[in-house]
Amino acid sequence: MTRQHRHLPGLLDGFGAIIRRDLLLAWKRPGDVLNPLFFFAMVASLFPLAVGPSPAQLILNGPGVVWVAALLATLLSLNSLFSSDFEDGSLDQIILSPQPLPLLALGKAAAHWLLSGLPLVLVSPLIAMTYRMPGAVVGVMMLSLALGTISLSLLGSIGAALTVGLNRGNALLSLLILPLAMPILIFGARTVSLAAAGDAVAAGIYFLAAYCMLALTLAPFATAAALRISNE
Amino acid sequence: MEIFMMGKYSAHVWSSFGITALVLIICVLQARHRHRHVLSELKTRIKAMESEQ
Amino acid sequence: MWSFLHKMASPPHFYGLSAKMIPWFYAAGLAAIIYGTIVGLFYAPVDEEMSDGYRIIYVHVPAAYLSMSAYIVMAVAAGIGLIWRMKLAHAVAAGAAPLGAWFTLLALLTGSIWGRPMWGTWWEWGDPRLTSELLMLFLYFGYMALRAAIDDTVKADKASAVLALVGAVNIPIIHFSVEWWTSLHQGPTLLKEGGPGIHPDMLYPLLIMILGFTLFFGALLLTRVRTEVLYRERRTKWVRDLVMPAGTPA
Repeated sequence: MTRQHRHLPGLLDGFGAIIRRDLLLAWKRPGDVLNPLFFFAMVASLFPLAVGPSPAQLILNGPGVVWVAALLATLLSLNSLFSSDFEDGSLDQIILSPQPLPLLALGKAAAHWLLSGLPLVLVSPLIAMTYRMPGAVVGVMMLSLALGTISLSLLGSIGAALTVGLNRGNALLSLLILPLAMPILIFGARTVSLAAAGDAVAAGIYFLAAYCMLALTLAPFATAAALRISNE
Repeated sequence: MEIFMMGKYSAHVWSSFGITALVLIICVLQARHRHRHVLSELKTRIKAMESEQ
Repeated sequence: MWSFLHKMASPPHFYGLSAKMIPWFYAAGLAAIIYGTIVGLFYAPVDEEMSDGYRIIYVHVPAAYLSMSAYIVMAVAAGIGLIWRMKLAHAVAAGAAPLGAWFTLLALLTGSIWGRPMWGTWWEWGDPRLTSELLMLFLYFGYMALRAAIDDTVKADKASAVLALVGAVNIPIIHFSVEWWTSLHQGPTLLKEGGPGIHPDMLYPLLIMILGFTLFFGALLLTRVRTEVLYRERRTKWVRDLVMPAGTPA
């Protein structure tokens, strides 16, 4: 007689289940992950094409361009955060599940970061190289991008939850998130510029980390509230 | 006359006050227009409903 | 007093009472603005740095102050509406948004006009206060856009309330930005430790202008909320009787 290992689902099970599910779905549709990455690379290449490829300008613009491109690519990927769940009805299931909704919302944001923010951070050194960014600065850039994209996934999930199911919700999503994203962009890009100039970056990194902590603690609740409201 | 010259800043000061007056007037007109619009729209709708009965 | 507030929360009472209040708010506000303008433009002393150019302060500061106050009104009203489900609170939030956007735009424009001679530039992208004020304009736009995109009024109320509350984090950032980060914009003049740092003869018309703008804003807000209430209650009997009194020929 086999001993069946049965237990009631705990808090982390729901969290883990949501992440696993989204990762599995993304595995089956790699385009969802790759498209924003290609977009990131393309946006980063627009600037030298438009503004001219002089090395001095590249070095100057590098931090800003990488950051703007990362922000835009993230906005692109946020559009579909809840849309597929909404369309096939699983969003209702998520909302109705006995697991605490903020935790599930956190799971969705975590999965989103693993599929969009993390790849951006990993690909960014390649872009940085084309902008002649020195090695030490690349490290700061990656750290700032990591912190920034985590915040963006969290804040973006609020916007995505508010606009799920609306026509032309995509443009609206960007409009809603941009004010929240601006401080991240400002501090992220500026920190990398400071690193390039050899100045201290601690303050900027601390700000990004603090913003990230704030988003981590508050955003899941706002997202949960927004999901319930959008799906009544 | 000199008192209106505002040092050499008359353009700045007067244009600021001018824009302010403009914005305040626009706000008032906009609010009142919208109110009248809603009132007339409701009148039409109620008339339509009552003539159906 | 509680019964007064209780009555005010009822839409028909609010509608009637506000009609009487609005003209007084306009009159008082206008009087204060005109008086403050005259004193500020012609009687306040000349500044050492900017001679008469500083007088833009008499429209810029009230506009900026109201732009933030409007957001606070909007966010608090939205929060009350969300938590206690008061319809009137949601109407207040909806009415405050376009006004807040206008005052924010006014603050940015007058600030830019002032900045040109004072700092040499129409705009400074690196400045925290300018950026966060611009950010607030975008927050207002986002709020209004979200409301417009959702057809169902109740859903629109709740969704925009969440947005307003999330964006409220920006308010302390704007106010404290000039202390936390180096900025072209001067530090806080009125609300700082040690009391106002401005000459009393210059301060006096400024306070009057702030009062005047606030009263004027109050009148505008009441007007817009009235319109909101009228529209939201369009299917009730009291609105029907108001719009088409019994006995009106069809």
